[in-house]
Amino acid sequence: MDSDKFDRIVLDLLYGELDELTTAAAKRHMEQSARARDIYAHFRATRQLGVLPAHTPPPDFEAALLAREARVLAELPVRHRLGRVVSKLAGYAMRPQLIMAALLLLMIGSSLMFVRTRPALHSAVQVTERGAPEGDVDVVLPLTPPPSSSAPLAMAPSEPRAAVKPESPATPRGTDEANAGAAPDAPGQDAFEQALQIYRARGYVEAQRLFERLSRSGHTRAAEAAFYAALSTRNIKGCAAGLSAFARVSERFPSSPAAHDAVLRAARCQEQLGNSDGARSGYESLLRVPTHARRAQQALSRLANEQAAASGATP
Amino acid sequence: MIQTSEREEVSDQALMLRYQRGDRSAFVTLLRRYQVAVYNFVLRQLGSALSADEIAREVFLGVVREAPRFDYETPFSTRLFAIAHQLVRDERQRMPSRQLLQRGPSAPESSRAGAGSSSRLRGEAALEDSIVSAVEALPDDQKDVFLLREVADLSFSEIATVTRQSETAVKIQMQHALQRLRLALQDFDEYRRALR
Repeated sequence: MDSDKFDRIVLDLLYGELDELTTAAAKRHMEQSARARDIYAHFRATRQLGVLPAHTPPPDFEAALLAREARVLAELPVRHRLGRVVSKLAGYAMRPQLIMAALLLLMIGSSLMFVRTRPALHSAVQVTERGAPEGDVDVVLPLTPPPSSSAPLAMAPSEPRAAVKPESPATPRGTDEANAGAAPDAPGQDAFEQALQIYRARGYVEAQRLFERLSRSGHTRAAEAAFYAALSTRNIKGCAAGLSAFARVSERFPSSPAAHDAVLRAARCQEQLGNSDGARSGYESLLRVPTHARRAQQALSRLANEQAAASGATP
Repeated sequence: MIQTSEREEVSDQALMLRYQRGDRSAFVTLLRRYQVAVYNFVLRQLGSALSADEIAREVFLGVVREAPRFDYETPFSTRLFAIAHQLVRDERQRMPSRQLLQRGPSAPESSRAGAGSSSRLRGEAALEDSIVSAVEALPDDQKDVFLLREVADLSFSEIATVTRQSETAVKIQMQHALQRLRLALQDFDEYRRALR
């Protein structure tokens, strides 16, 4: 730093307005220059002593000023006073809390359009699930097989037909009532319907237990109950276990509609297990049953087509 | 240098904004923050307590009038002393003969120099009188710069804004002012002690 530059910055140095680097450079210059030391010392001493005595304003200074301030405000042009009002309102409007509150009110107001009172009874919609589970759509039992004298397989007199016609008041209920104590519910029509509802709700374990109990209780729909128990077994354990369950239905209730359904189901299981011969044998046995002949024929045709396609695809 | 009261946490700009919105208590805070500095600045310029009282009030009333269009990019203190500087210049022109430029209202005798109770206190009073006289005898431009620096505590750049000069010109005037004061003070023992 030279003397000229020092002269330019000496006041900044005196009043502490220099950055650290320049301050250090100025101090280094003063260490080397007696002239610079002398200039700075005199300025510093003058400033140190040149303190003016401070006087306080008169006691009424503030009060008189505020009184005049009110008058000056009242005399401000309208546009300036309006500006103060606008500024004041804008100050409130710009507060985040007010903005958030306004947004909240807007959201609540707009959502009221979608709020309705409790719907009236006439507008209530009730939905009832009907039908069988997806896998059992075609399992609906032929509840009303037309009794035909020309049927090659006449039903045995002891066939549990109660499933296809309303229970006659004359139907002996002694067996059901005797077995009622074994079940939580009386094993009557309601018990069968209850088990069926559980089955349709895919509660297969509970449905199997209830249907097994009904099938063993001598219920008028024991054959159907046995069939549903077998279906439940298949749904729980798969086709391999289902085959034996369906076979037991055929053995216990031979020539019954439930037995035919069991054969049909067993044949489909054979298909799924890859045993085409076993499936074909089952379907062919149903060709003699009028109620199942059509579906058996369709299945046989499908099997033949698949076999032909498989042999055609094989080089 | 006049010790101004310690700044509160609220900035001058924030107080002006509040005052613009109608909060008069913000103006009172600004008034109490600057009234001593403004009053002494005007008093040392004009040398009359009566004129200083009136002009200092006008300075703050100028702030009131400017509040609706206050420029927030300029520090409040700069604008405040710009108003004070202008009013002082107007007052000087109004009274060119400087009839009022006499010895300014000094502190009560009882609070100064102990009414000659000791030679040391008499010496301090003499030093103080010399300082006041030397400042009042400064040329107007140098006095403006000196008082804006020492009483208003503005930086040189802010003084340049207030006086509408370059910063270099302001510093040159300040150097001249300090050299004149030095001549008035150099015969005092306190000055020689301060030099060491």
